[in-house]
Amino acid sequence: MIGALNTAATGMEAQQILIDIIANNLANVNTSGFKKSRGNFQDLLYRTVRAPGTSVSAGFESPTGLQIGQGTRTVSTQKVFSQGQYKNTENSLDLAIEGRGFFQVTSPSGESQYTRDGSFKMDSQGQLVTNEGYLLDPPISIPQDAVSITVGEDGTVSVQQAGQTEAVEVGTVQLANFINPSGLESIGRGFYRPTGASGTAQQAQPGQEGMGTIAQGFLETSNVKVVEEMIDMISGQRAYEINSKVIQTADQMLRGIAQLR
Amino acid sequence: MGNGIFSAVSGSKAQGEYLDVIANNLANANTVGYKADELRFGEHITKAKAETGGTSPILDNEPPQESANLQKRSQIFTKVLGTFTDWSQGGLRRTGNDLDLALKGEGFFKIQKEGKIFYTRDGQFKLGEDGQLQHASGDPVLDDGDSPIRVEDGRIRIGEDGTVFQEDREVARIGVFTVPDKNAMKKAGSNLYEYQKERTAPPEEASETKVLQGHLERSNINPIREMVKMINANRHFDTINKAIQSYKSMDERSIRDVATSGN
Repeated sequence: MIGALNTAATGMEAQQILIDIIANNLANVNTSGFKKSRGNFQDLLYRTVRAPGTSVSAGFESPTGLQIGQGTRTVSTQKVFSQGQYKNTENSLDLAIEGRGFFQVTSPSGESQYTRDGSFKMDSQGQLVTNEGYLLDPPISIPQDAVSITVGEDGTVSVQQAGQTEAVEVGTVQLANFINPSGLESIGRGFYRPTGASGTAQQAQPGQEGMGTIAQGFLETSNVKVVEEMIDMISGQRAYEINSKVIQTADQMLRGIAQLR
Repeated sequence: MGNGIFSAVSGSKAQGEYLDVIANNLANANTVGYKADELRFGEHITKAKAETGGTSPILDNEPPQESANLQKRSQIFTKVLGTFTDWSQGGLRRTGNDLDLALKGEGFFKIQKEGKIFYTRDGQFKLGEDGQLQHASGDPVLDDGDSPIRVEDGRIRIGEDGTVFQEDREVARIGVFTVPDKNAMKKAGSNLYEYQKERTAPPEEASETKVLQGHLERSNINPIREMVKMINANRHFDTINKAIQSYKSMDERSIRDVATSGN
């Protein structure tokens, strides 16, 4: 029964982590470019009193073993990179990726970071930056006298300048991708950092080498589905409750033993 | 002092272990591919002492006359025979994630871990940095020919027979195996099973089983059943404790009464 106490505690802990993950997903239901996380759970090691299929005497083997589990553990949290919905913003610097890939940006420390949030702004030099002011990589500068900006599906950025009839191409938005995006490290504010598990970034033009295409004037909304999260939350909460009942039961039984004398 | 108290203690120990098993099932209520465990009890009857002197009712074909004597001498204990696993299919849940696989029907995925072969029904796979298909613990998933699977990137389609397609090119086939003797499956933690009869009763390919991409198999525990089992274990335990207390008070009384009758 002491075992049951600890086992149920691991169960409660796992459900609590699940609720934490769900809470973060729900809090980011309106964060553009947000990708939901999920918890992966596994059973813990078993106390094997007798392994199945072991011989009990010459020529005879026990048909079943005696294995008592020790509970559960959270093995990993995993980002789910399913496509979010698109929201039409009609803002010419809002870019959504339709398909796979990330925008590559340079942080102030010079590090390359990756994001799906394409709500770009212009800085004082006319360069495209994220909400945090991180430069898009490769950088794109918009001339001061630009009247309109057009970003094509293939990422080419062209501007119409005042007094000109022809549009001028000023650069191309590149996308980066990883062999295993789930292995990226989430560093907050919608940014990801490559890790050993994700592989290195491969840059390509949108629409090529399996990259998605760019949709101008759209933002990718969070891929959190509120109903799914609510269902998971209910099941997590109930599992938490049931595990707490196990603790109560084990406690009652232990009290019974204590009262024997 | 009667020996019955030891029988009672064996019963309460067994109920304690039962609670441990139930606790593990409930702790794994949200573990993908988890299969519920059940504890099986039996009786262990000690051999009667030779001094019975009763006639054997089986030989004489007569109602037992002195068998009361025999009953008194032999003792019954509760014995935990073992745990067995409920292999029933867990519910399928759609996740839409390309690397989530569920098995519909019997069988297991094959995993290689530290040079040993393990089996699992947990299909929350991921890709390693070199494109290797891996179990959540980072160990390679094996194909039908026992070698690891490599893909170029995560854009893969997996057919119901486990064939992996990369842009309509067949690159591998995920191995799905059944074992002739499921009782020889030893739970190894991390959602893995170790097969104890790899050589004597080798696993076979599961041709009937379907691999479903974008789905996961939920834990097959039934919370209602587990709660009822838990209440049962609790009540049995209380009852046995009452029995132990009765034995105790009987002993106390006999000690006290014998002492008074001596005066």
